[in-house]
Amino acid sequence: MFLKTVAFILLAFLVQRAWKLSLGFGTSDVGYINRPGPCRNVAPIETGSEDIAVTSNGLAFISSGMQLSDMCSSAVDARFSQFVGRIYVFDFQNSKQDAVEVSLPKELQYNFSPHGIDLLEDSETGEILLFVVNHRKIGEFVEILSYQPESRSLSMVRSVTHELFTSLNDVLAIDRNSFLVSNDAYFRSCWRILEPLLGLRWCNFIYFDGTVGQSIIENGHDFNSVALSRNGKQVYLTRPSEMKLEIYNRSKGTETLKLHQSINVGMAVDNVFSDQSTGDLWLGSHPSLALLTKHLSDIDLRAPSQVIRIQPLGPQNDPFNTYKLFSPFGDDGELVSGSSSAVHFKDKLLIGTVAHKVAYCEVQS
Amino acid sequence: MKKNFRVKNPAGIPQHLVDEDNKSPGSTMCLKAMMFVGVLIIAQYVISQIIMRGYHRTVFPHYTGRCRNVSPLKTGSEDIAITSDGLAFITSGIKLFHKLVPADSRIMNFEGRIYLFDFNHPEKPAKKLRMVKLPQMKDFAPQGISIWEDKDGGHISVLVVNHRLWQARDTVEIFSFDRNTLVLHHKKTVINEFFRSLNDIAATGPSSFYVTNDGHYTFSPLRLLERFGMFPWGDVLHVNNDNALKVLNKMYEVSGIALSSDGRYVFLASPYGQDLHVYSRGEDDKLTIFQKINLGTAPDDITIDSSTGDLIVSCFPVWHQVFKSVSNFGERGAAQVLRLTSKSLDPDKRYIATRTIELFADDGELISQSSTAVVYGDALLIGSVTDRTVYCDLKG
Repeated sequence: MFLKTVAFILLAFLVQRAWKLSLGFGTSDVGYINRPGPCRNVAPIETGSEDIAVTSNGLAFISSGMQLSDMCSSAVDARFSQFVGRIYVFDFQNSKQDAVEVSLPKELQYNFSPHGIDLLEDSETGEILLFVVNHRKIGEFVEILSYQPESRSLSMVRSVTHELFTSLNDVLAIDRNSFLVSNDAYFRSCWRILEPLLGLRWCNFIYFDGTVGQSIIENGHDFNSVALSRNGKQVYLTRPSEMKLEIYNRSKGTETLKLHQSINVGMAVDNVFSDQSTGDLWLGSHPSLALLTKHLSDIDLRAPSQVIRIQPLGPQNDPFNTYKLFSPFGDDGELVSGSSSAVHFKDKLLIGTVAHKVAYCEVQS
Repeated sequence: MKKNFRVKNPAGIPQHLVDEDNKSPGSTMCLKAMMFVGVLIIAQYVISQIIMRGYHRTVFPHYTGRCRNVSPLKTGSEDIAITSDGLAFITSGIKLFHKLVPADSRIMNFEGRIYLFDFNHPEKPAKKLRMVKLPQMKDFAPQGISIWEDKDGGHISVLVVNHRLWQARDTVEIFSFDRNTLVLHHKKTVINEFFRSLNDIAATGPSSFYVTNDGHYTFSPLRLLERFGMFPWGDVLHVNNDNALKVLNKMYEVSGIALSSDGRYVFLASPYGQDLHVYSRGEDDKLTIFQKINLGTAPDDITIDSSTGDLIVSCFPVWHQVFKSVSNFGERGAAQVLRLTSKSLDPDKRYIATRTIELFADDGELISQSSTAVVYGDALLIGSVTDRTVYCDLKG
């Protein structure tokens, strides 16, 4: 009798997990092609462009070559271990030029597997500081780097690691020394697959103030990408497996976050970009997590891509009180496979992928 | 030999209260197993219905170029057929009583008519065409429409599916179109015992055609059983000189049908399977399956873009919304138009590998339930079951 009850509970639990996960997995394997205008790839990026950060002048920094092999190597394509971690810079104002590789500081050569990226512009000195999540062999780091435009190189300012950094994904810079960073899992190894399967909530969202790191949101799973609203009062966080974007009200200084609203996007969303000029949110998304998983296990299998734009229609103090969803870009994986990020600058779009190329599109509304 | 005595019921307790000794353990296990399987079957049905009817779907609107309404169409534009020189014939004022689809009461005011929209003069409104010598004109409730142009570009035959309410039967009306007077002259009513619940039509000659039956029972509660039980009682017919041939059998809710420009292929929309079937057409008009193209959405109608040979497929991305928005015109249904273009330049391989471009997607704001779409040059015309008609300039 006891055994039967246990078996029944286990079955009910598995069914519930399967149902919750399957929606994000995607029930269709068709990637619709949809262009906002003329689109093309940006050379020479071919081994990923997971996240992109843009300056107010349209200088885009792209993190490329993330080696997923530290994340359960048996589940991912062996070629990932050959990927070389790089940062590229692409100028929206000189879009005909290719993306250019930026040289890394000595400590990071052969020690760079970049993921989420953010930047700070010093309005007085014009200095650009890059904050990059780096999956080093020895652990999870946030690298703070200074960009030297004349030499197109990055110099090391500071490397931060912390016991709370278990599986970092994206970073949001607050000031020169402090940032918010998300953990998308507790385990870095193959055990991480158990977390969504069993619904384990062992992730946290961390605030590092320059000296001390603390969890400001705990007991979550799958905190993915983070961005800041125009007025700094709201923090946006994506939850891919639940297909939603969460909006938190932020208290500056203490960096306490309180959940204000949850937008159900209806697709597995990856990185979020907050457009400072319009307040729109741009999301790189995966129409089918099932196909994305297949693409990661064999890079030649293409995964469909989609970009979603959330336009705020509410008042200044609560912009997403009402909103509208649009999708200006979709692809079957031939142009870009597995779109993880999308940034918008003056009617142009740059779309990045987990392990593939980059697309540059002109938006003709 | 020692007999095994078991003294049954020594205390004389009434038989029906005596415990498990008298029940075989096998039967309770069997019952539980059956219940479990029953639950799984129901769960599988529910989940497949949810997915098929699109309850889980979010539609993200986008349309390239500028889109606007086409006046004066407000009471539906269920199907559109286009000539090679850009004249689009639109059926309007559909009634769906034969399928027992609950409809908004305003559908009673719908007047069944055919409109003409000229792509060469898109700024002009659509013109209601005069129909001459059509018997029981007040009972005209058109759905699928197809055009046959004589090779010399002279004569135009217009073939229309008609859901006659008074006779409670479906017929096909054949008209001849006069280009100069813009009048439709009724030539023939085709009646056939195989015409059950007609949906769409594809002309193969001035008076021969393929036609789809999207189900079997009409004006009967058995239609509800057919729909929800997912019984494949629809079919596809080819009609020539009053002879009807069943070319495809055992189909569930098949709708749109189209013929390739060279007449070699026939395309069928299968909303249930969320795919499009491509058949090769034999000399005898019989059809053999050639390819199934997965669309990931429920297709309704298929038209051919004559300049490229691409398939233009109008879809109901959230299928259940169609029924909701027909029963209440205030509820809007999502719309979607896809273009299937070939990956190969080889004409024999054109329907083997295709790329799917999403030309238009809307959450119901601009147009509710896209039931048909045609492309001419850089322009797109989209029709709906009971709502407006939209014209989009794809150049942007």
